[in-house]
Amino acid sequence: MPHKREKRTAAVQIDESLRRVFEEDAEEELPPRLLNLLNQLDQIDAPEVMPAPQRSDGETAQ
Amino acid sequence: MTTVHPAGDRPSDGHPTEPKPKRTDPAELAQVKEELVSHMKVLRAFALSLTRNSAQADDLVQDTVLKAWSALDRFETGTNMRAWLFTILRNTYYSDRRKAGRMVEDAEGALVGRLSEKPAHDGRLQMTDLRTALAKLPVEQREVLTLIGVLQYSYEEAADVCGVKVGTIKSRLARGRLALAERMGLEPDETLDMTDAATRSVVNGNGSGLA
Repeated sequence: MPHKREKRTAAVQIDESLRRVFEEDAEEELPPRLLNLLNQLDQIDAPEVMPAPQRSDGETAQ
Repeated sequence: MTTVHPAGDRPSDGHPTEPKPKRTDPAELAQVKEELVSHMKVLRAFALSLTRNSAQADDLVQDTVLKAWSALDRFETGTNMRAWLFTILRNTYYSDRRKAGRMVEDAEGALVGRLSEKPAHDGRLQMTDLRTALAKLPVEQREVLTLIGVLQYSYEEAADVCGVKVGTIKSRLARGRLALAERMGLEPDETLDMTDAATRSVVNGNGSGLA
C-alpha cells in the first residue's frame, strides 16, 4: 500500500537523520578537560576524599 | 566512524542495593577504565542530545564519570557499561534540572555555534535544520527520539528508563516526530507512524494530556 509505506519511510527518514546527528556528535574529539579527567581518574579514589574539578558554571562537581 | 549500537542488555537503576567490595586489582581497574574511556564519545553525544549545549554536556559527562568511577563497586563486570553510564548521566541531568528549578531550558543554546555545514544526504532533512529543530523540542521528546530513534530501545525499555508509561513514550515519540516534521516543512501526515488510537488522540489534542 503506497500511502502507508510513504508514512513509514518518512518516520524512518527522520530517525535516520537523528542517528546521523548523534553519530556526528559522537565522532567529535573530546574536549581537553574531559581528556584530563580521564587521565587523572587513577588518582581519584572517591569524590569525598578528592577535591572535585570545577564545572564550567563555576560550581563544584558533586 | 563511531557506530551507535543498540543498548543491548538494559540498564538497571544504576544503584544496586548491596555494593560489592571496592575493586583493588590494578589490572581489573585498568580494564574497567579502558572500557569506560571507550564509551566517552557516545556518552557525550547522549549528553548533547539532552542538553543541546556543549558546555552543559561536558559538565554532565564530567559529573557522570566521577560518579561512575566512585561507584565502580556497584557495576557488575560483564554487564552493559554503556547502559549503566547512560542511566547515571540521565539521572544526573534531571536531578540537576530539579535542583536548579530550571524547567525551561535555553532552547537556542549553543547549537548555533555547532551547526553542521555538511550537506544532507537525503536532500530533504537538512542536518542544520534538524539540529535547530531538535534544540526547540522539549527535552522529554528529544530523549525519547534518541532512545528509540537512535539507540533502538523498545517502547517498554524506554518507558522503564524514563519511569513513565508506554503510552507516554509513544505520545512523546509521536509528538517529537510531528514537531520535527513541521519544523522541517514536511507534511505531518507523511511523517507519523501512528500505532494506536491513544497516540493519535494525544497528537490530535484530545488525549489525556500525556507529556
